[in-house]
Amino acid sequence: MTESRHQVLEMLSQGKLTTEQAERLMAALDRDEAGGGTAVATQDRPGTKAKFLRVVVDGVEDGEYPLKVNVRVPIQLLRAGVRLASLIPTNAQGAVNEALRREGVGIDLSQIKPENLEELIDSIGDLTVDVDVNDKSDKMKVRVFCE
Amino acid sequence: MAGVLAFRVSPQGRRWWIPLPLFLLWLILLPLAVVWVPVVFITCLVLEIDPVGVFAVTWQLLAGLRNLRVQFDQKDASVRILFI
Repeated sequence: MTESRHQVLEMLSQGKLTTEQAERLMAALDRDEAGGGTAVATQDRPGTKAKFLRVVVDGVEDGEYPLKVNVRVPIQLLRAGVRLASLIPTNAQGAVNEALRREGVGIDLSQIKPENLEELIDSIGDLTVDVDVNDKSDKMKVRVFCE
Repeated sequence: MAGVLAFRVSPQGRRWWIPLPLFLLWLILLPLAVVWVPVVFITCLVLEIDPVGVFAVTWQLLAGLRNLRVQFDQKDASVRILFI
């Protein structure tokens, strides 16, 4: 079993992923393996044409007032962010990883590669989450997708 | 690249749009950048970070801001930030 698959299963067991999300990630890993591994050039992938990551929140506040959040992040900016993470010196990465772990984020910065971002974009598809809010009159729907 | 900031601070208030011509900001920051480049370069070498990579990623981050859009509308206030 590859390390990526192991990570997906671990996140599933920890409840960080739903079964549907895990299934999508596994399918993306299958596609990668069929195409010769994660080293496949992202530009050559037919599925990776997204230019923006969109996060749209539609909600109702106090039962009547609309609450809207609309964020459009260029994928180019995300790629630059991933590259920025790779510039962190190895001795500092340990400290950052430890601090993230203390905050409950089990991410190893040394494992973040530009290919991971492409996999994520491929896997996101169109993800919609209904969020439970404390007040029953408030409703919220979060939609994350690439376009 | 230009930035646009729009905001509304009261429920019935009018929306204020403030276009921010970022190219003017770049012109102001350019002399500072010229001074800081050697400092950053030496610091990177001391910290064993690839200085060329740092400049490349910084440029990519600035270039990546183009087309970034953040829009937040709520009962009492709204904020929109666009980079065009």
